Amino acid sequence: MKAIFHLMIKALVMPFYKNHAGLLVFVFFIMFGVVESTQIIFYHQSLILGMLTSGIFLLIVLVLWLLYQLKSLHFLLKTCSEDSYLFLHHLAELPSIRSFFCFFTVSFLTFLPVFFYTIAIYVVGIQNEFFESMAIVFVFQFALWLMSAWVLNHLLRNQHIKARINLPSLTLPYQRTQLGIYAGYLFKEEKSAIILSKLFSLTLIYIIKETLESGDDFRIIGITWLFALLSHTFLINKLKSFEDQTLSWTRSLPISNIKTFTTYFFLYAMLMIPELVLLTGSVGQGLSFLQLLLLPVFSSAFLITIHSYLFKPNRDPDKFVTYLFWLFMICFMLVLSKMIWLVAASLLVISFLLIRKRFYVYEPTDD
Amino acid sequence: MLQLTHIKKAYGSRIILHVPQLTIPDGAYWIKGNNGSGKTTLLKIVAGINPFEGTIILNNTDLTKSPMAYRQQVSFAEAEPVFPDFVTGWDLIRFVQHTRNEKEESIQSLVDYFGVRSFLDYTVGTYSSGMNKKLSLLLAFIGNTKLILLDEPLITLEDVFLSLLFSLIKERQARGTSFLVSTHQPFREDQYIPDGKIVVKNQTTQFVGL
Repeated sequence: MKAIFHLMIKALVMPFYKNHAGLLVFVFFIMFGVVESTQIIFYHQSLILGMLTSGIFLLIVLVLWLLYQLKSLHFLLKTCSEDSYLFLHHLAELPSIRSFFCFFTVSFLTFLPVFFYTIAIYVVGIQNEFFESMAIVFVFQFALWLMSAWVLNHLLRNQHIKARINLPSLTLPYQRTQLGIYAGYLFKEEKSAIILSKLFSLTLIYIIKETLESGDDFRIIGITWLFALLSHTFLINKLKSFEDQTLSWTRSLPISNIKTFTTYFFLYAMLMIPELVLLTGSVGQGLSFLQLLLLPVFSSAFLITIHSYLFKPNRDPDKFVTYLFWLFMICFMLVLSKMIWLVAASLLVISFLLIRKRFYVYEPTDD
Repeated sequence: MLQLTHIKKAYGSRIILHVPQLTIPDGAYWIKGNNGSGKTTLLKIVAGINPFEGTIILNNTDLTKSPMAYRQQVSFAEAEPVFPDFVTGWDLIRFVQHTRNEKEESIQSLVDYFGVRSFLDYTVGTYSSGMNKKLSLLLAFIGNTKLILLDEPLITLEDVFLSLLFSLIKERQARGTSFLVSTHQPFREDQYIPDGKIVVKNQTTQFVGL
């Protein structure tokens, strides 16, 4: 059993954290980066007390946890269905209770960042004797782990049964270009991942949009946009894996680096169209038309810079989180210093140079 | 003419392929070697897919110095081709046609020659391994490339198709295209006789006659 757990952690839990590094950095920053260090304990105490005493606040937190768990479940289901994960079928040879326990552990481990924060919730709850709310938190989280484990275990053992739920597929009219193939992958193969990412980023943009007033600073939108971009970073990892697995043969075709770069540029700009459309109503309220046009350029620049990092030969996959963190921090500071134009232009130039340098010296590895 | 000089491919300290010097004249050559000897690596390096150390020159075009011009002259069909599941065969053909600037007439005649028209409207995810293989070979024949690299083209295909494939190789060879064909099966004399043999053994190559 120890060997099975070891393999499950390596094959499912670690890739989950690597793929969601952007989202986790984003949440971590929201939770701990926006408050002065001297106020941080008081801030979180108030936050937890608010949650334990207000039914509405608690409900919002539970919905956020549910979304996180659904995102993690979605990742695990997609990963398990990959050809390279066929070996997981052997788990079906174990008694159902044992394979269920394996998946329960995996579900719990992907929930760890939330669970660590929950420990603080229990501490504050015990100190203030909010046992009823604590019980709700415990039961809800336990139910989430059970739900994920049940879904994973059920699907593993019933792969011969046709799926009953299928998300509608968006058929793109033009899949005969590089851009069409990449877009086709995102909108056909990763539609549920896209929906979840959009749920995060559109909610964020909507909240900011509703609070914007005429004369507000563009930096508010710039920083919100940066956070919205972070919720899409895991798609870049998926896109890169797709490239490595099914498009390596295109490297022998006469496609220039400029064309490849342009493809990435339009792909990532296109990815943020829903957020852009949502923001069009805010032109004149803290956002000029020119600034609105700048946002897709900034999106492409930021996301291609992450993509270009993945072309680094023999890269250490564990360093991706560090890279993402520093890239985010630099962009955050520059946006805050009203230099979003500069950061967008610089990132475009840097990412182009990196792609030009690395594209043909990169070779996919098994990580 | 294809010239390989000081070609080295290694993963860390493990050398996968080392070719100090190899000159391959125009023609069709059989790449022969045991499993793991480095045949696919050699082909992928020559195709410009895998990074390497050294110099590769095809008809005076250096792969490292003029990557676009070089790639316009070379095409490659993988041993076990993998394509995105959601695209159709036509999507891939149009994609390669566009990048290689091939005429519509040639495409239509290749599609008919390979006998694949009936399934090109379906998505690749529904193809059998044989259909995938035919599609991959068809893609390699698109355009007027000077060198076509075929990695294990004889596996998963029916005998009737193999005769068609060899006829096409002969026809393209007559028009000035060179071939490097890697396969474990010896060529049948009634089907095809290559111009020579390149043996890949102990991570290096040796150019020999048939």
